[in-house]
Amino acid sequence: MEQREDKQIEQLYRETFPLVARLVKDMGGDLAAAKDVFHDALIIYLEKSRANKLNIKTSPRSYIAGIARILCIRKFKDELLYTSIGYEDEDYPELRDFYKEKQSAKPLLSQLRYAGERCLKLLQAFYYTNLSTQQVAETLDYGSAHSVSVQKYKCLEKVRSQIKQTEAYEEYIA
Amino acid sequence: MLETRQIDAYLLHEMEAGDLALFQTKMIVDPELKEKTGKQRIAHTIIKWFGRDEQRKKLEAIYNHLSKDTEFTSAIKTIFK
Repeated sequence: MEQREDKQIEQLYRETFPLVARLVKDMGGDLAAAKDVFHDALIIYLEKSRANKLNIKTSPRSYIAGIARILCIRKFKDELLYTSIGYEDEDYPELRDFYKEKQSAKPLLSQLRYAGERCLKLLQAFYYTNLSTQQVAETLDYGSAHSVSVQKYKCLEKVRSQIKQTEAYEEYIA
Repeated sequence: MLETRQIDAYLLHEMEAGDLALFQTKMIVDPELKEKTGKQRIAHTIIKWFGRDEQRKKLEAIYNHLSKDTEFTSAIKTIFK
């Protein structure tokens, strides 16, 4: 299942990146900026899609370009004399969370790694990719759905305990 | 572990109305439960950020893979020439 999704993402990347790259170039950005903006826009699209919250009236390509346009305006707003914003941020409430994450994530993620790679992959599969218990068992080679479920809560307790010991989490996320 | 499961159900809005009312009352009288719920909420957020970080690495790998494709590279070079 994961491999099939990877192929779909690659196809979407191939078809959509040039469109976003042109947009970024027109706003004065370079290739590195185009990649940053495009990756963020694609991540937002994937998250909505996995959560079954994607309600778009246009093609995925146009939707991603619309998000990229907003991200781009944010990125270059100080350098622009005039922008004609075709989309309002209110149409994409998930962007607010995204900006917050960009500013806060790095120092916290390095501490999260104390939970161990296997735990993090398991928690990521549940809370980020939104896989079912059965899908997680198959994808991560667990013996049964029951053992996945038990392990999930043990890992979550481990992360929660780490958070309790680190005041920085409260500061960054509050 | 049952408590962690219950907190998760609360945070993910998966509780039945009766259980929800009971859980909310428990949080009022049990500061430790309230604190654990707060930490678990933060855990969810951090895990989401970790997931995004991993997804960015995957997208970077896709870009590197596509960079070996002449047609793709040529299209990008034309834009940034």
